[in-house]
Amino acid sequence: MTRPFKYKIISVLIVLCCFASQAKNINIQVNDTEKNPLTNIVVYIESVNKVMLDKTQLTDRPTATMDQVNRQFSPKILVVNKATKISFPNSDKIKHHVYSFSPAKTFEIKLYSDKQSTPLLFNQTGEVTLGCNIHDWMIGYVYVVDTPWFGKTDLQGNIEFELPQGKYNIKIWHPLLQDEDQDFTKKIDVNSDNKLTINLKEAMKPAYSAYDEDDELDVY
Amino acid sequence: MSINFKSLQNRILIRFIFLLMITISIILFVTLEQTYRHSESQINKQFTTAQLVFSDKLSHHSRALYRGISPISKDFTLKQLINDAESDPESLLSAMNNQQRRIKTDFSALLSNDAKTIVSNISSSLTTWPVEKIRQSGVNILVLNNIPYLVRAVPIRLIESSSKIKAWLVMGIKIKKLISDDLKNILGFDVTLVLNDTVEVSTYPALNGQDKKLASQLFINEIPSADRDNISFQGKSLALYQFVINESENEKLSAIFTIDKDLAFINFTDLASQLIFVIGIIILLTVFLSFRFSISIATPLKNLVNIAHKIQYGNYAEITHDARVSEVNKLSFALSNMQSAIQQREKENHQLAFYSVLTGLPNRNHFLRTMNELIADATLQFAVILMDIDRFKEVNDTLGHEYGDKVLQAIATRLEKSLVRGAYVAYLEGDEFAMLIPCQKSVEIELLVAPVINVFEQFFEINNIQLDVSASMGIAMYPEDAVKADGLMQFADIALYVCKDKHNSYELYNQKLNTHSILRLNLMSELRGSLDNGHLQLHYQPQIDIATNQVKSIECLVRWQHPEHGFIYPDDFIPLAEQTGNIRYLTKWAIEEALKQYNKLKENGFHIHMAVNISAIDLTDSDLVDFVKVALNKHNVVPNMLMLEVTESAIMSDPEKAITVLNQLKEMGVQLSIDDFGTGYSSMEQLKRTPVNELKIDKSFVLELISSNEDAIIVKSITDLAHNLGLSVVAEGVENKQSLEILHKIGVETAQGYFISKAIHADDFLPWLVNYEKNNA
Repeated sequence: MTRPFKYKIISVLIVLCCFASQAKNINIQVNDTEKNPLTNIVVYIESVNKVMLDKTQLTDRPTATMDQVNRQFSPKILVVNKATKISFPNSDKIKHHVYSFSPAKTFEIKLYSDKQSTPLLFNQTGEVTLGCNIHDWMIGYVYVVDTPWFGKTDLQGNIEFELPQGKYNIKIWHPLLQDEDQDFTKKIDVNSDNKLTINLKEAMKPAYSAYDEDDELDVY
Repeated sequence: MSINFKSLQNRILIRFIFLLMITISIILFVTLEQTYRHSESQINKQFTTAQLVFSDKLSHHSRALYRGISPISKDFTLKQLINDAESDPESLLSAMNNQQRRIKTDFSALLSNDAKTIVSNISSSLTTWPVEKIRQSGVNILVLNNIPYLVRAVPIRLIESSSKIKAWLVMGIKIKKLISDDLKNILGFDVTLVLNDTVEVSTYPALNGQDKKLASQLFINEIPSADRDNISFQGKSLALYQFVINESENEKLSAIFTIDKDLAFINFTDLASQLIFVIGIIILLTVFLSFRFSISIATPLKNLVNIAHKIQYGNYAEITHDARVSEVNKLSFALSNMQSAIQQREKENHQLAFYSVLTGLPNRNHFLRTMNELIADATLQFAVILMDIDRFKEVNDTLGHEYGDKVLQAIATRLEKSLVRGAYVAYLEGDEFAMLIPCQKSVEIELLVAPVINVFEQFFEINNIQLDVSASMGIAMYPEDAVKADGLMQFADIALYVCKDKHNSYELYNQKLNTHSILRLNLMSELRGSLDNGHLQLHYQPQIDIATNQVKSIECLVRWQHPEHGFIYPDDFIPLAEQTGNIRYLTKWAIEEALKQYNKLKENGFHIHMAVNISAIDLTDSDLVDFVKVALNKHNVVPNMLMLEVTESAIMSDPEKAITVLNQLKEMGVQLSIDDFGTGYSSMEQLKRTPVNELKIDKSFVLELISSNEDAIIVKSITDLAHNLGLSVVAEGVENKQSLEILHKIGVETAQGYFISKAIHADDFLPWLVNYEKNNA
């Protein structure tokens, strides 16, 4: 096949996509290895054909919020699209010192107690682990994706997307997912409403609590 | 000083002490042994406890280390520096040094997640740290550059609650720093750490001093491989306990506890010395008490021994019974009783020994003693008077011994009364009395003996019989005649003998009397010797059967050929031998000689009876019968070939006894003859009872048979009498043929006398016999 022919085919496909632009409902169910529904699993769907993405939305994206309530991050896991600003209000009456050494976003917001702090722009995809320097137990995650289709499973482990027809890669993320599941990509060709189920290949990591192993300190 | 181990006192003492020593030794040994074991087990327990404490101390330090580094691992600034480590390791290291100083550890290192050093202030050959090991709680030892450290590693998480470990923080403390005098005081032992046979650190002074290296080497060499033991180090005995703290491929870290045994066992030594002190007191007390006890037994015993010694020498003492031990007291009473009994018996013995039971007068012993006392005194002169009662035997024979005894008693009483002051009378034996009468040298003997003679002036009236008694006295004077008691007695006796012969009432000794006496006395002392050396011999006088003229028997007559005095007649020494009792030996000798002679004749074809004279004394000798029996057997002689001749008077002196002995001899088969028949006073009754075979008519009836018709009648009468009693008759003193013919006519069977032959010497007899038989045939 000759090179000009190849381009022809690609352009036809693009036309086809635009042409069939009416959205389809895609329902995704995430279960563990035991087929029990998993909640709060980040599910995001990347379009194979990235050119279709609406670049205009970059600046207009609403600011996301990672609050601190009762000395915990709220929500624990926040998923945002790339280039989203996230504000870190403090709903507690005490001060927090939020920081991250994650490469996707390294920052610290030094001791503050006011509700309004300057929102920070997260414009690199990836995982940003949040901690509080004065409350070791506090941990929160910001997961930055480069797609408009993302969300977390509900209590039934379910999430629904409206997707234009096209080809997509479905991915999941959670801090406790094993690498195999973390790297999992499900390809999907959206041309009708669809319902699919993702079952974890491995059991999730156990939740980590630093205080469980610090028995030597408990003594005192 | 020697100890008498056989004495009761010492035996008791020694046994007590011995027993005590054994008991105490066992107690001491057991106690000390147990205490020593206890001490040792206590030390071992303390060692074990100390090990626990030591381990706990290390754990404690480990935890402290953990508590020190744990917050550091959460330090935000450090996290920031760690996050920038690649670009700025110096800042990170500097911050870590700062933290290290804060918690006073000796090194720190930051490791990557895969345990590789990121930054560190210790140069280590480790490429990969044993993170998983040293992050463990507990005691983690790591030897870095040959120095043991107590280490901990903690993970650094950038977000504390994240499971993600960014890096490891490792810090360590030199273990050497943990070994201090404080620790020593807590443990109660010296602590020494040894790394691969090198002393790392020690609280033991010698291992800390100047020659630390040398001492350490010596110390290591001493340590045995066992877990714990005792070692000797620098002249001290140490109890030692060692255990391994940490052991890896290349390194071995051990802890060694030591303690000076003198200190460890100080209680034990105290106890031992206290025990020995107490036991010493007990020993002293026991020795004292057992000494007292043994003395309480032994002292009265010693006293009793002394008393017994005194009793031995006749010193009687008052015996006290104050012993506290009843057995000893019993002994004391027994001894006391014994003493009384001995005293009593001694008194009786004394009485028996020195006084005559019959007369109550002192006896011969007493008399001799008194005389010796007088001689020893040497101031007095005195006369010794021996006296015997004339014809006393007749009194006994006619009136009986009992009567005789009464006569003696009466004489004794009168003598006692009659004596002058200072005189002394004793009863010797039989009818003999003796007196000692002090006198002047020039005294008239008549005056001296007058009181004694007076005693017999009046007749004695006993059992209504009036008895006229006279006495003979022999007198010797002290000191003129002799200066010794036996001499005086001998001379007085000689004088008495002479007096009897002369029929005087007294005779004073003079030397003329003596010569004969001395000879007589000497003869007796020589008699027995003469029996042995052949000076005494038997001569043989034949007796012939009158009817046939055949030699039927021979009378054996003893002859004494004295080397000095020449031939001594039997009449001179036989009465003497009878008096002195030597007659017994003489008779036995004569019997044996006769039997030998018999056998000699028998060998030559003659079977002739042997007649041997025996005396009255022999008849009282209970040996005689047995002796005859044995002698007959010995010489293999038929009993009836032996004829024993006994005088009529010998039988009469004690007829009962004599008849008994004669009966025994007769039963044996021995022939018996009554010698000198007709001179005694035998009654027909006694003659009838006397078991004899033959009567031998005294030669006084035969010698003048030819001229005296009376003698012929007597001989005829005796012969008839004998024949009527079934006895044969021998006549002796036949000196001519006429006598022999008369005798033959009368019916006398056997004759003996000079007409036939005088007594012939043993050696000459056989030739004589042969010749006689030849002529006779």
